[in-house]
Amino acid sequence: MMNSNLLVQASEKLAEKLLAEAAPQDELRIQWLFERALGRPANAAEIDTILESLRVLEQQFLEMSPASKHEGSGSPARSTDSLTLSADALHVKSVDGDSGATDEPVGQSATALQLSSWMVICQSVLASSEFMYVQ
Amino acid sequence: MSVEFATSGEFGSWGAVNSRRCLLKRSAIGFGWLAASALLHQQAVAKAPKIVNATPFHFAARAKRVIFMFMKGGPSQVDTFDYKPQLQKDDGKPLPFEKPRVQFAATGNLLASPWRFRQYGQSGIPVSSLFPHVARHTDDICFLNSVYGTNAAHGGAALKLHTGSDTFVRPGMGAWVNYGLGTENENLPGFLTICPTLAHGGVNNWGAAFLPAECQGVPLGVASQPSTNASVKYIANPLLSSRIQRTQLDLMQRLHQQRGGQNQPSAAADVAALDGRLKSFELAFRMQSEMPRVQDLSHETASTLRMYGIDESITADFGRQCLLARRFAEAGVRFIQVTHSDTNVQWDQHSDLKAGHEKNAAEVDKPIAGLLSDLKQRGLLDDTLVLWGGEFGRTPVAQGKNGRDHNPDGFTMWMAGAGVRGGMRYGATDEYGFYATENKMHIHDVHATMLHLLGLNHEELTFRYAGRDFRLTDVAGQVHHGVLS
Repeated sequence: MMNSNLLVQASEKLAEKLLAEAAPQDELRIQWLFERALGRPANAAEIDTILESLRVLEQQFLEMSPASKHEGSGSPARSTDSLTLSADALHVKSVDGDSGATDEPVGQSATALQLSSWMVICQSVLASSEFMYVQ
Repeated sequence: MSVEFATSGEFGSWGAVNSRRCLLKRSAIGFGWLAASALLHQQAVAKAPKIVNATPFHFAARAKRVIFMFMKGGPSQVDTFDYKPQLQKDDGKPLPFEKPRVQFAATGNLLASPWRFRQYGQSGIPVSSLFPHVARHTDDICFLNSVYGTNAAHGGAALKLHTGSDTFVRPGMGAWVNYGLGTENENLPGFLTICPTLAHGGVNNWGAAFLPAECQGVPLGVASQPSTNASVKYIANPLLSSRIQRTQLDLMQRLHQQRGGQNQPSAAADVAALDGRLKSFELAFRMQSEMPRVQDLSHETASTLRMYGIDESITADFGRQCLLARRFAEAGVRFIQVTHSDTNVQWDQHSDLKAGHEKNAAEVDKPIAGLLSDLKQRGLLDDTLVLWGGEFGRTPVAQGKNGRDHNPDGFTMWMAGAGVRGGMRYGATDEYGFYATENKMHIHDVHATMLHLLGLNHEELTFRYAGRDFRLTDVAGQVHHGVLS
């Protein structure tokens, strides 16, 4: 569920679409995601929770990007083969429409950080019981 | 042990009116984990004597864990561990007493075993030439020669053996054990079933039914595929670091707790199942490093691999299952099942008994013996209960020319290890091995005795569901103290 290619790909696509189609404020993006995935608006507590996680995720992705080389310093005793996500690893597709769907790595631009973070948020919603089973 | 239940954070969002009911429901569901936490607490402060009383145990536990070796299809007792000299003499003669009223198929006259028996060990227990390796362990084994069941068909019988019921959806025995004792290793499931068969009970054989979802068995591989494929799918996350996965799980937990999509709490069972999903995500997160480590056989010595027969093609597949079982036992998994089954019904020799049983026994004999030796040399046999058997045995009378039919009326399982009296034949069948006659041991009794060895009273290990208390042994079962050392 969390590691399968199917869900990862779906989450990536959803995040791309979200960044391309939703209004650029994070709160409105959350509403877009909830309406699209769950068919209901997000409530205030959910928005707070997700905004908080979003900030943490962006910081964590930033710290592990090649430029900042913080890798491993913050997390205790990770095995050497532990896998990390950087924007490069995601092979993020360009988000701006039909300018060419190339597999062009975006580097650690703000967009790539955003995309990675939103991918994690989207996956969390797609893996939720509410999306999978309830209602 | 003091346990704090309701905090406003956990139940507050469900509203004050419902909170008490929810609390009671949830605390009942949480019992297994209370039991588990008590156990962990016990291990942490084992030196403080008063804590012993705070364990989940009803009796002193002899076994900490179980390895169940399931021989699917029904190995023949009179050709393996229940020697019947009279049957050898009366080959071809009619059975001198009534056959069971309910039989699976029509059968004919007595059929002598095509295998020779030899006595082994100090106990001198006869074992057939099908199991020369296991036979060397007879002094550590208690052969339960008087087991009987109620169902003459594979489906009901296998379900009965695994869950105590041959008709309904009930928790598997590994789920009950985990409900009672919890796990010893929070980074692994407490109940693993390696290469289980998907037929004859299928997933119900290792399901949790109404018990908390986290008690259910985790299957590794399936019977129809080689045991090299017995691993957890998608155990690795190729994209996200463990730190980011942690953040993601925290987010999911919080969204789950907020239950933004539901104004009313669902039925308790639904809530439990959904909580179980989140717990499975958490467990999977913790398993990512532990599971590949335990499954990695590359550091086992060549002599260990040889002991399990992993170096020979006939024994490699089941040998690998047995070695994995030992590694999971070492790692603290509470209940481990290995299954010997092909895509058909492996031990189901309605015809051509000789060829079929010979092939089957050759595949498992050395691996089982290797597992017993290995557990013993590592001191694990002292607190591991090994249980061996199929869903029933086979008739001493012939089906067709050279086969045997299903026989639930008297067959052999065996136990070895923690708290079991080795070198003994417990109970007996009649002179031909058809019906259990002495110290008859129903499947429920096997379950009751197994739970007893784990320190659990089968009458007190209950779960209230649909208006009544359920047990692994339903309303039956008795502990056979003669089996215990």
